[in-house]
Amino acid sequence: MAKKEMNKLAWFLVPIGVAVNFIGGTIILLLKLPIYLDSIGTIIVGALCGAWPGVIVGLISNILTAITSPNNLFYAPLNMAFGVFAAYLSKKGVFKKFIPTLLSSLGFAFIGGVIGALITWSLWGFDFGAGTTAIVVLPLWKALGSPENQVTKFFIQVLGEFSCDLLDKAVTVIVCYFILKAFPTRFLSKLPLGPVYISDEEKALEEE
Amino acid sequence: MDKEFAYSYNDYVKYGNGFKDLNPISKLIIALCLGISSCIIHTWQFGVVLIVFSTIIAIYSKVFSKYIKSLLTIAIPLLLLSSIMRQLQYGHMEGNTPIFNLLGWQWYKEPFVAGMDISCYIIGFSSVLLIYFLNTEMRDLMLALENRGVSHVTSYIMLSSMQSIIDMKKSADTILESQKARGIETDGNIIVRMKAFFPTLGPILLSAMSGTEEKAIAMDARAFSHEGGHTYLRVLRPIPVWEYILDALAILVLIGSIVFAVLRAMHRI
Repeated sequence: MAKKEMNKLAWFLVPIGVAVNFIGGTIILLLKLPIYLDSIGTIIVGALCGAWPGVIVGLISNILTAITSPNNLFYAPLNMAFGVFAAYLSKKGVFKKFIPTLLSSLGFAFIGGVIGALITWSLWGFDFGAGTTAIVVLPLWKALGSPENQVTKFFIQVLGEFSCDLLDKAVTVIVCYFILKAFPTRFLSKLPLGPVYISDEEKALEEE
Repeated sequence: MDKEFAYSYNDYVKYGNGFKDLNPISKLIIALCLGISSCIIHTWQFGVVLIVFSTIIAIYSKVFSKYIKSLLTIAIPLLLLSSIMRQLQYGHMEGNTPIFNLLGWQWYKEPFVAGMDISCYIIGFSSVLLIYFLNTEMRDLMLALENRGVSHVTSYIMLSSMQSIIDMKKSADTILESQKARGIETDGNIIVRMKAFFPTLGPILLSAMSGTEEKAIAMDARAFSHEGGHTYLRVLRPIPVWEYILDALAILVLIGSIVFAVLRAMHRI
């Protein structure tokens, strides 16, 4: 019975996660910052409620952005993977300390680089995609003497997406770290992965 | 007038437009089949056909202004970027046919066509889905899915997500304004603006999250977790036979595009 209650609260957090994904982007636009921050909700819900809710937040966010720009649908697997990865890291307790959290941005950017490059690669007819990554990709490709080797080209694309993603993901995980820290204990205790974030002193208090 | 409104619930959901009145799932099948076949065929010719098709439907279902606005925001950057990118990439290759000279920059036919192929198929895919989303209310789609046995929790999550975005945008504006009034700087260099981000997002998120608990209790008090059958205020019309035929045609297009792609690949080898 108690377990079922917990899961239900997790389902109710999914819409909030989706909205946070959107709002992060909106505030960034209002403050005119050069990043996206469109996966804060996915990572927080993944970290607090587990992989499935995280995946669903990612999927629904991309379906809803697809209403105005349908090619976002192709990139849904990316956001879904962030949810899974966040849940995995959360179980390991990575988001409890600042330095590991910051380092985890490398992991997120790596996932973003590899899966993002795979999607871009197949969308653009197994060739470089045209977008912000082109700023990194094209000079690098020319510098290497424009090799026609598919493997080399794919690696260049991965590198391009990774470097464009890194700053964005670093800021994202820092935001997530502070938000997770600010959660009230009585709320955390009701979520599947919430107990990870309850400090030892509070656990001791509860036992008293 | 009131009576008319009340009686409108006795009738099926209808919008008085042939395309809009199609069952949401039938429309989804048509949109997805055409969109995916655009991805499979991957040529500018098919992309253009789809764009023309969607534009005609957009005019017919009276959503043209919204449609063209969204489509152009996707299409213009895509067309420009992809053609410039492919020129930069393959412009110097031997055996290219020159087409025109842009202020001393020679453009070639082959990379140009390659860029057009890619951007047109993506725009074609986007155009059919745009038509779908502009002509379908999410609540109708969820209702249709529920009638097919999808859980009502899915509908709740989907519809509540859309509502949460609207609600949260409002509270984001309020909080940003009040933080400004309190003296936080939202203009200036990038560090200053970055610092303003945390005190804006934090309160929105925490209040929304703590609100979910009350929401969960309120929903349970209204029998949200009850497993039995549900009643609906809105009823979709029964699906006529010709709608099934339309779906079958769309699926045929998809199968045809797969066959075409396979034949083309074999021909190339």
